[in-house]
Amino acid sequence: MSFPKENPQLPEGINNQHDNPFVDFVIMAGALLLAVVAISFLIGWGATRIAPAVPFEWEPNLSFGPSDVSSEQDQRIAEYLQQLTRDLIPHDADISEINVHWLPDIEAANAFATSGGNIHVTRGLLDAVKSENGLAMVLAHEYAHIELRHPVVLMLEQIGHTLIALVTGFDNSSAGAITQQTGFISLMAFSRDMERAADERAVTLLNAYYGHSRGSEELFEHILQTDKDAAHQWGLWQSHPATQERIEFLESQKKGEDTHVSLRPLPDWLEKALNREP
Amino acid sequence: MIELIVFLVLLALGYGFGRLSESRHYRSIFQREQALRSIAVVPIKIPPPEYLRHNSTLVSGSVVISVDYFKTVVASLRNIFGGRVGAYESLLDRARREAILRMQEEARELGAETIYNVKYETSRIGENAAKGLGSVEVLAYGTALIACPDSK
Repeated sequence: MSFPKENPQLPEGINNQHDNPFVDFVIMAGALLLAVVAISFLIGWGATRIAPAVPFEWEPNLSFGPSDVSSEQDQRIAEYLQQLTRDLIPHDADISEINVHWLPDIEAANAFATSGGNIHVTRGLLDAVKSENGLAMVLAHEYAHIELRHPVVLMLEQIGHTLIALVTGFDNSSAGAITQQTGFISLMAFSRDMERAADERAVTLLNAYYGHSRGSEELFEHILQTDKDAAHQWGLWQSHPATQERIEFLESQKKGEDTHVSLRPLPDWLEKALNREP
Repeated sequence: MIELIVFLVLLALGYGFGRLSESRHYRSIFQREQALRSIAVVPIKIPPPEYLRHNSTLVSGSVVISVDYFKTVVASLRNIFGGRVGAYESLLDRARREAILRMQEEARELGAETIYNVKYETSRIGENAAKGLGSVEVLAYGTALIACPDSK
């Protein structure tokens, strides 16, 4: 036996087939995206159908803000908000027990609903609206979220997406990131749909209470005026539809005779409490 | 949105630079393999009797190659679907062949004509190895046989 005089020239492609990894990437990423979008759609579709069947009493009571109202004035505002919400709720509504929480220390104009029938209203929101109608629109919108069981829908969707993330990798891996981003975009798409549904229902509630929906766009007009970015905000990552789109929808819902109806002002005492001229 | 842009930019950079360096490296490997073919590399442990009068010495070749971002993404997707991880196969193929070539270059400088008892070791290094971003080291070593003037 002897050593060979030289190494043999082996054919290429035994240990590495020199495939283009880009093709591999496109096929796998495409399949993963399609799978996540399809599963997200199924989760969203299922959640909106399961949520109404979940008894309202099962919703965990989730609320924020001060448990006791600090001043007599805050107490009065909280009662006013509670009463206005009560007035907006139809007599035959399935869910009529709503707790409105007044958040006097938060300057951002906002209101939000949480599970268990809780609505939160910030000081900034009262500063943003000019009339009772404008305020009622926001309260009706938040009530619509509760009535349409959106907190439960959201919970079910989040459980579903957490399960997908667990299966595909909940870490910082690239596949996990793709899945989470796609899942998040899907969640936001469903969130925007929920906002549109709540707007639509709120207009119905306003019409039932006031006979018109004038003033419903007050908060959104305020947002457009005060937030320069609001006019351009639209995208897959937004939880709410574009402000301009919402204004256009509310305008389209107004009836012809609405233009002659005067808005109901906020009570004088509330205007004074907000340091505004009545 | 920003995260997605960063991801896509890293992906494009990883793909572009990764492909460029890989094709350059393979061109270099093909040329050097041809040039060093005369230094035979064999795995057997005991040399034939005719080489007993040769001098012998340890020769080694080591290389560290980094995984590019694009490859980690493809490999991460493969973790879900299963199958052959082609992106890493090319990486290890290059690393093994480069390590052998470096070992052969050392042997040539020593005047050796053959390397026997050749072995490989592969390890993963790099601080970000847990995230899939890391480098692979391949070490090839063997015993070079150098002909003594009086053995010829």
